[in-house]
Amino acid sequence: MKLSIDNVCKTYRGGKTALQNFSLHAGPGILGLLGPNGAGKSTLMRILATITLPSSGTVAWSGVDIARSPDGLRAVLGYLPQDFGVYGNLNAVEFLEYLAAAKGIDGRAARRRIAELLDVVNLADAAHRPLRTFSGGMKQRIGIAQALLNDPQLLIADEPTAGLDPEERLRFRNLLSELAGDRIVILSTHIVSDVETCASTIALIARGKLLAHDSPAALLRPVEGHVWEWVVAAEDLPAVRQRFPTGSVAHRGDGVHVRLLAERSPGAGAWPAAPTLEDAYLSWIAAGRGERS
Amino acid sequence: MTRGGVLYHLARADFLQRVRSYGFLVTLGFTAYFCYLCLPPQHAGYVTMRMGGHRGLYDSAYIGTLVSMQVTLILSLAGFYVVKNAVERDLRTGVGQILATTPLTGTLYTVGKAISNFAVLAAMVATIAAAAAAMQLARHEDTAIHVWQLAAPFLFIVLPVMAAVAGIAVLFEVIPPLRGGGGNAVYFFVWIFATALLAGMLELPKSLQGADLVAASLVIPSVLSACDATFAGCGSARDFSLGFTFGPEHFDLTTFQWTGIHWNLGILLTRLPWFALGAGFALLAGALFHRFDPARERRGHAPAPEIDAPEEQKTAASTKAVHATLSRLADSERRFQFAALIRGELRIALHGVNRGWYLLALVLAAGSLAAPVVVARYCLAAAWICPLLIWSGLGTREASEGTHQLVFSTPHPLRRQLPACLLAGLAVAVLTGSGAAVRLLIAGDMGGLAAWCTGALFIPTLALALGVWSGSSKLFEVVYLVLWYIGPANQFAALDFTGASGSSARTTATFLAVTAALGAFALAGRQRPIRQ
Repeated sequence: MKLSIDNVCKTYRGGKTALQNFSLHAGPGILGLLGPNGAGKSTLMRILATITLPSSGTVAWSGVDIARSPDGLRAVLGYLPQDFGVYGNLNAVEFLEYLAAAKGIDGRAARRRIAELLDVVNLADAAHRPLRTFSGGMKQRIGIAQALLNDPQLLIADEPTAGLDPEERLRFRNLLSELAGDRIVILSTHIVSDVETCASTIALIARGKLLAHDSPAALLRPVEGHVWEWVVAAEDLPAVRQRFPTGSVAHRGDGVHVRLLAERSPGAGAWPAAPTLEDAYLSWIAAGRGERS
Repeated sequence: MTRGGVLYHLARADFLQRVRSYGFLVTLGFTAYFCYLCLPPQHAGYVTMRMGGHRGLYDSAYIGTLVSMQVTLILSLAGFYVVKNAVERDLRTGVGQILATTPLTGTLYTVGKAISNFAVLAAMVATIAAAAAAMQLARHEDTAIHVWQLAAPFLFIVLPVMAAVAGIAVLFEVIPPLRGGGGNAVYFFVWIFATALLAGMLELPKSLQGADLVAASLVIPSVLSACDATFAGCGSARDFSLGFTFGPEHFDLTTFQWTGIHWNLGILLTRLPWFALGAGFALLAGALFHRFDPARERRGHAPAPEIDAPEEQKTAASTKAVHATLSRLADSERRFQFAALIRGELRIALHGVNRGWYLLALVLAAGSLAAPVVVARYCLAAAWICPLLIWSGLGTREASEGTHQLVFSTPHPLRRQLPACLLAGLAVAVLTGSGAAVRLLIAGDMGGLAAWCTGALFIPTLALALGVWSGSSKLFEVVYLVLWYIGPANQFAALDFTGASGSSARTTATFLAVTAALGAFALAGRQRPIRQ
């Protein structure tokens, strides 16, 4: 079970390039795909999910090119798109039964699986309500359930926690960790906290290019000793932002607390801080833009 | 900003959104082609207006007027379907929700949409007028182009009717039951009824000439009079035809010169009511417009009040650990069942269909089984128009409901989901037309049964092909309605796909071949979004 992405490019009609020479190899575990909005994450997800073809390059699932033979992957694929619709007149069970049939799951097994999944995503009590009455978060959980229907070997989730409340978010992350043992889970997001606790490796992507692909610990290494917290006057904040890549900013009684990246102490009163994945992400993205300090 | 400014920007944005698309370019291409068809050369197998064995010389006045009359007739139908999506687009894209929170009044909104509709239709009319000028040169009977004589009929015959079409399209859109396919069907029958009155228009009193759709009461006496001046007796000719008339042989018509209509204020005033009608429809739409309030949408067509997890469930969830586990799916449980997928497609297709529909389908099936032959054939025709809106969802639902990414990432979507979708449509045709099938079987009419089977397969295949390629249910609704009206409803054997008017084996074979081609067309169309 291996997913190989080699030199994948995707250019849309009109000339917009979404992916440039993107290469990545993934095995069992959770791969967090992290990048800002418009980085090319959803395009990559759609290519991996066999929805769209790359303009060039290859994606292979266990050695088989998915552009030539997509159905081998589709049989073991679970896909949660960023934006998806549901048939509003159907209830949750009917909708999942339909998708189970499309995915080739035996009828009896599908019914058992659907009951189990609705319980897992906390929708058992709403199982027979029309989907049009579901809130955004409930609809998202139906999306999660359908992605898990066929017990996928490759689970692709594009911004899966959008619309989920904190408890459901945590529950979903735990479910992913549980599932990731012997399958590949690709979790695409721009929210660092979604991946920092559960991802075994993280791929950073910006402007269609892969910036880095490593374990969270390895990604933190380059920023160790370069993260600072500094209290500055509110009027100095624009100048600080111009000089350094900045993270969180908090207005407090003693001034503005700024978390920033710098090779050396940015000024008097600044103190070093323990780096987090968010700092590493900021550093890589800034480097991608050519702003890294 | 003044109301005029608001209207301008509203209409402008909507107009630009619509015309900046490949679809609109294709539409313009079709309208220009229609102009070409309106002006057949000598020896053609059809004519568009003739008085016995005569027609007018193709000069600016005659071409302008003839094309205007034809265009008015066709755009009063097709134009409605082209522009009837202005409000729906705002609803679908969510822009409507934003507009609803602005101070924009409902009336300004609907009037702005009507103006945008009118601008789109006017752009199509302008394209046809330009094509008409080109055709005058191409036909080479009179190469002197008189701009006023050519353009005036477009301005005074076509545009007023387009204003009414623009207004009524908005009105249909703000009335939820008329917004979808139901409204498309209603408009079609209203249009049939209105154009059926056309034949009597020549006898209209002067005070009612404004209601004359194509200004026939104004044009035809004048043309007949000019014909009579050249060919004595032509003016009283009963052998007059307007519209596409096909003959068994080629037409060799002799020509006469017609100087056109002398437009004066009195004549223009008779065309003004059409503008008034358009404005009236737009204002009425404003009064009925509910500002995208989901609570006032039809059940099943709007996001119903969202529910969240019930309180007891929330409590249970909170006490339950935030850990979740999932069992494994055995290999033996991965077994594709085609019947289950067809059942799923059928369930999706029939969800939201009310009991009255089933009752009507049952009555029509019984009628086509047991009623006298004359009645039974109409029962079958009616039975196969009832599921119009069920079939029109085939091939489009994945796009319109946003489930395409879920469905197309399942294994073998072309081999499995597409045929299942087709078979669900076929099942609807078989069930609704079952009475006629049983009757044919009892009578031992195998030829009729073969025609029926072909018809039952033809309808969903047509729906699927048009739906997959257009991405909208509208194209099938319009094409099928026209086909159904000419074929089964009017018993035109060559287009009667039900076989009820005694279609020949050749017709059955033709429909079978067309069905096969449509199937291949659907397959190719579905391949596009999957393998872009």
